[in-house]
Amino acid sequence: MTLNALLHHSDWVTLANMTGLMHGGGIEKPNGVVIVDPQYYTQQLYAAARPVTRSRRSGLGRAVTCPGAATCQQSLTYRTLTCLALWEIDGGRWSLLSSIAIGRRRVSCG
Amino acid sequence: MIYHPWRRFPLAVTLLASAAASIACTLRPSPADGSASTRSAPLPSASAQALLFTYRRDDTAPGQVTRIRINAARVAASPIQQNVFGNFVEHLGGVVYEGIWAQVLLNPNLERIEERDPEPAAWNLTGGAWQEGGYLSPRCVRLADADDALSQRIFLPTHRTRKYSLTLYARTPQGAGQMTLTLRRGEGLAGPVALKVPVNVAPSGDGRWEKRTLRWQLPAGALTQGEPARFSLTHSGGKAIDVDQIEVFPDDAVNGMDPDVIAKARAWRIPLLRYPGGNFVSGYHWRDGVGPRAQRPTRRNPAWGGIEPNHFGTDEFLDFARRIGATAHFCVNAGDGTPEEAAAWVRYCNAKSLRVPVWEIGNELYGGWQIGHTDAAGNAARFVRFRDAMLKADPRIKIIATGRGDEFQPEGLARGDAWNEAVLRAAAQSGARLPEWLSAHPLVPLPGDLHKMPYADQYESAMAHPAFLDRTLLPTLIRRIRSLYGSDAPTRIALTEWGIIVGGDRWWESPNHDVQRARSLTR
Repeated sequence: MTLNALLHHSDWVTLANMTGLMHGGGIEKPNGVVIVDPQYYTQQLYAAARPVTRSRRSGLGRAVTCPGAATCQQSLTYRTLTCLALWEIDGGRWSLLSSIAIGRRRVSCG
Repeated sequence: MIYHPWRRFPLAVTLLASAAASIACTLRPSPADGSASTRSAPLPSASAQALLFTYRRDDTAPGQVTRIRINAARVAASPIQQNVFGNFVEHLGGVVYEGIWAQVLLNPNLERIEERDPEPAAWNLTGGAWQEGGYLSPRCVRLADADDALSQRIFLPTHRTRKYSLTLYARTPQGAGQMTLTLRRGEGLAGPVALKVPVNVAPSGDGRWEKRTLRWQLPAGALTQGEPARFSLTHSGGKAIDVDQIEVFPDDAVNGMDPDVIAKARAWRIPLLRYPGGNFVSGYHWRDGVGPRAQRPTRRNPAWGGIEPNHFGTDEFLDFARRIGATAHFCVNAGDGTPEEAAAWVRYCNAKSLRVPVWEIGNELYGGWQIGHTDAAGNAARFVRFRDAMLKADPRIKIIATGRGDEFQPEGLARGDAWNEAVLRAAAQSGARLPEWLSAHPLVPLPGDLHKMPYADQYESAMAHPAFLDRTLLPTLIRRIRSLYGSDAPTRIALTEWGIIVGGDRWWESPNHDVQRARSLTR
């Protein structure tokens, strides 16, 4: 979602660093064993896709509940499309176009 | 949740840029009785077909339809810069030591980190003496009597290799002595022995320090993956032995670094990597981390506490960045550092042909948590001094000014805006080059007790942040730059840290730190 927000403003946001490589997400090394977490794959999806074109969205969302955060009001008109990314495979000759969206009425996440 | 595992498109980037057709998909609730349905989205990766995204919908509303329309013809004029997918390495926790750096012992120089340390930080000393006069360092340990032992709990990458090397500096002022290197299974000194190797130290005559290297191999099955082991050096005969600068590397370390971390980071395809902080940088002096390792000083991590042996510094980081295919982005110490120190760092990198194209002046200098924090005017003045010195060292470098965008309520936005206005005005008034970027750190602190909320509430809380970023924070930053520099301003926005920070002691249960799930996926 944050990456999408950055991409929507990509004419102004031209550099960003996720926090971070091994703290806050991405790669973990518990007990000397290297593993990765879901953020790793999400970031990898974007970085590997190497998108070159900024897309525009249209359409308004509706209210979502977000107890416990001070920024709930900001969500009132937020749109629902959360991900549009390309994944290059087969050496970049072929690509997979995927869209991932979070439903406004989702009530739980497993 | 809608997921459409689209068919493959040849050169889909081109499709997005030029196709006139719009693509729409509609999903209706399923099953028909309106009960919750679950759909899973496979990770679209050729190498990792794993289930990562699973959502459950409430589709009880009659006729509920979610519709997504993708209009591939509507594209913006400006391209997306690859550097928005950058990442960040800070000397913090297990990121560098116990992380990127493959050496498994903490505090190899046996130094004091906190005033009250009764023994070398991270080590356990049974008998023996912790004394002054180490090898090129303040302190060392003397093992003189039978069973005097210096030990530390470690984890070895036994899933990769059974071969390791021990390097230490030793001296025997009074004559020959013997030590034993022992590895025991488990946390303590009483665990079953996994390995025992004698280490003979010949008399060094005038008490000179001599380097010893010992290569050893664990017996098959001696330790399992992820199992803790107790590493110890025990006096086992002869005269007293002084030891210092003790290191254990796996034999497959890549120039001192963990090959697993390198492989994962390289596969991540990170275009830009920021270093060395973060809060750490505001007390970091880069000269501590260059030159022969044995001569680098051990310090207390100035921002986070803990041990900073400076074994991973400028050269090591740039080697790491090169190996993972990332461009380096350095942040300089504008906390307790000086413009001259920063300019010297630029020259050091250039002299070694390690050119770093992106240089950030300071980290979160507005924060009371930051070493050398200041006010808006102080930051503006500091920026001008640092920029001028660094551009004099190399006019080709690109500069990031410390901006502010870390608060998520109206007063906070106003504070950030005033801060940004001050530094942007100062940058322009001096007549020198404007900064290429203004930084902001939209790090989201979610409540420490977030884990007590239903998972869906945790998720919604986290997702509120990107909405704020998109609709409020970024437009505010853009308006400020535009208002001062115009629409064709050369200055852009750099979010040099972004992410979600979940407080409390169960942070790993938050949605984006679901390590347990990740573990199951990667086995």
